[in-house]
Amino acid sequence: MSSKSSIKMSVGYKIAMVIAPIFFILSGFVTNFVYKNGKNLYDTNFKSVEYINSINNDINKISSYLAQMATELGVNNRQADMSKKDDILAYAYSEFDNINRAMNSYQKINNLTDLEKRRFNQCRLGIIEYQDKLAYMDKMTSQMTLQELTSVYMQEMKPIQVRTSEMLEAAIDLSSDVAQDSYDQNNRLHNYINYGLISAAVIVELALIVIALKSVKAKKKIAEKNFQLERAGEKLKNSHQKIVDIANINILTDMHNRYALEQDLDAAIGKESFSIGVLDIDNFRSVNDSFGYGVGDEYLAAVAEKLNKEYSNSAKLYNISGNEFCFIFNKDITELQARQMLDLARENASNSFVVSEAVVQCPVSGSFYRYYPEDNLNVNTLLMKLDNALRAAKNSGGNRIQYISNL
Amino acid sequence: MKKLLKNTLLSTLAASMLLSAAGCGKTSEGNRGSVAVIAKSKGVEFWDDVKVGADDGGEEMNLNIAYSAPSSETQINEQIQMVNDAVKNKSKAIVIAPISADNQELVNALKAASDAGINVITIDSDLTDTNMRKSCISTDNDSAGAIAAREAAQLLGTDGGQIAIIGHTKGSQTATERIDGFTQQLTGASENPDKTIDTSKTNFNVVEVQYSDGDQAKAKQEATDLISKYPDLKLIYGTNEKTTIGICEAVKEQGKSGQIKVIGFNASKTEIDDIKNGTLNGTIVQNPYSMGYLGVRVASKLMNNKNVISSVDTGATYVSADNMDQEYVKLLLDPTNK
Repeated sequence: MSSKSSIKMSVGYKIAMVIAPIFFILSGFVTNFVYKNGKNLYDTNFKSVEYINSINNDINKISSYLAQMATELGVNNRQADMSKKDDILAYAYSEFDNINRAMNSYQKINNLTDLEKRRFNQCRLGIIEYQDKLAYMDKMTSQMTLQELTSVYMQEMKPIQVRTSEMLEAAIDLSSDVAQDSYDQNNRLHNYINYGLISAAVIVELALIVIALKSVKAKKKIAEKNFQLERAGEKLKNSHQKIVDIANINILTDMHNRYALEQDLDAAIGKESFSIGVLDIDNFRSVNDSFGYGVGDEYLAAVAEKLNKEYSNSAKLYNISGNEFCFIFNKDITELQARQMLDLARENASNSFVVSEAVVQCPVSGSFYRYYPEDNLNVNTLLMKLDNALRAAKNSGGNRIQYISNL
Repeated sequence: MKKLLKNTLLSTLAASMLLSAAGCGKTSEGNRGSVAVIAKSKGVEFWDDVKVGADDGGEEMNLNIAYSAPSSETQINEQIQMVNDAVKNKSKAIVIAPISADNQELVNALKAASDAGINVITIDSDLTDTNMRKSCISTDNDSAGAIAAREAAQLLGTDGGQIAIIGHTKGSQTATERIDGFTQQLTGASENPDKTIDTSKTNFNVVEVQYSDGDQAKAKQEATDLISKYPDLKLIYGTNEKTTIGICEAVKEQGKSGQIKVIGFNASKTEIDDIKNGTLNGTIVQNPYSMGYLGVRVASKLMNNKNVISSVDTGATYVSADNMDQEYVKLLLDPTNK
């Protein structure tokens, strides 16, 4: 579980490592794109406004030349005035060259909107009309009086110029609006992309933080689960012990039972030598018969308590059947000591006990065997050996111990 | 992890979409308000062209153009109602071609509009009280008449000759100015003492001035009468569309096409045909598109508190067989042909 979470973490960091440079590269591209886009828009709009402005200025210049011509010159004027007229017209025509160049340049600009094109067309046609009228005026100067020339200028040319100038100004305003719009749009685009990148970066960061937090949380959970598992294990162990205890311990006497004895013997046989003894209360049946099972049980418990109290430090004690007790003496107890202890125990057990205001005393018989690994016995044959010896003791009058010879 | 990554990508996408969606509404600066454009009459090409210009202006300047026109040029009450409606609808400006220069009710309605802070701009013709409006965009009819006269002089040459005039409505401002400008330019005769008179071209003789009341049949009848009355008649000058067509019909009927020159006003399809067949030598064409467009432009400038010229002469163009194929003339005749 914990390794899985660390895998998750490392994947998260790997992704972050991949994403971070992508962000940098992407934002680089985007910035470049937005810059170029902005520059193009600026160039386009700057140029368009510049061209229209120059056309408008030139038209106004021509208009002022013509106004001068119309007001100062006449058909009957002197030769000097006529040459002045030619000069003025030459100026006007050269201005028209500029205008035509600017118009051509304007029309070559890319990205003009339909509205800009439409407005410019109105301007262009006004300029052509004006140019036409200039040729007409040029032609008429030799035939017209000063007053007529002035009238032509004021009535025909001036309105075209005023109208065309208005249209040109409208075109400039429109281009400026378009420029502003484009600029705003570009800025917005820039902002959106920035916001997008920033929010993406923030989200990725947050995601990493979430991953980190999650893994901390996961670790905590694992620890918690381990703890719970340990506790469960302990519980299991305890309950297992209980089961083992129930299986191994005689409830009445609180001594290990025959099952436990067999387990212990199984573990010890073939490995080490030990002294083993059995005590059995003679005529125990008569206690049950005389005092009842309750007193019989209490009597057994009292005998067991006495034996436990006296010998549990020297031997492991078992209550292998109702009134039969077994001693496996500790390794440090010699055979002789064991024989003496078992005999003493037999005497202790055959003393009188007071249970439920009754005095109970029964003789006790026993058997003893010193086991050696080379004896070639198993649990059953060993116990049978002891049982046979016990029966022999009882048959020979009881209240004594039958020592089994190793031979 | 996969899920987390997916969620991350999705939220990023959602965030950027949200941001762009928030921006979408701002691509244009939005509508700046409504401008009422009130013409003189429905079903007349001239006013249709005014509408084209106004609509173009509205599109370019982010203004909503509310165009309306009375059922005919005599329906002043309809026009007054349109002014009142514009005030009610909280128009930012009224661009109007006033049917009358001094009709008290119309003037009152416009005054109410002006008092309500609505900019009034006149087009095509002006009000007598020019304080009522901020600007006037129109053809200088006097100049238009003079242009017609210069063309007449060109047609007749220095020999000059007899000229008859059929005006559209006696006493109407446009008719008076167009006739006055013409005669003043041609003969030096003018009722206006301020105008400088050049008497060098006295060989032009305006023999008679009649009025058709803008009626084609009446114009035709008068032209027929004039042709028979003056056998040496060299040229007839008509001051509006219907009058011009009537004159041409008479000239054709009398078999005088080419012999008697005709100069008229405006450029209906019939008139263009008459130019092509040689009956109509030329016609003075105004610039209704520019009136509509510049009317709205002036309105837009006023809304932005910018200075405007108090009057703009949109000019008049003499259209004849010589220049009718010119690009600028074609655009003038059909402004929708952008």
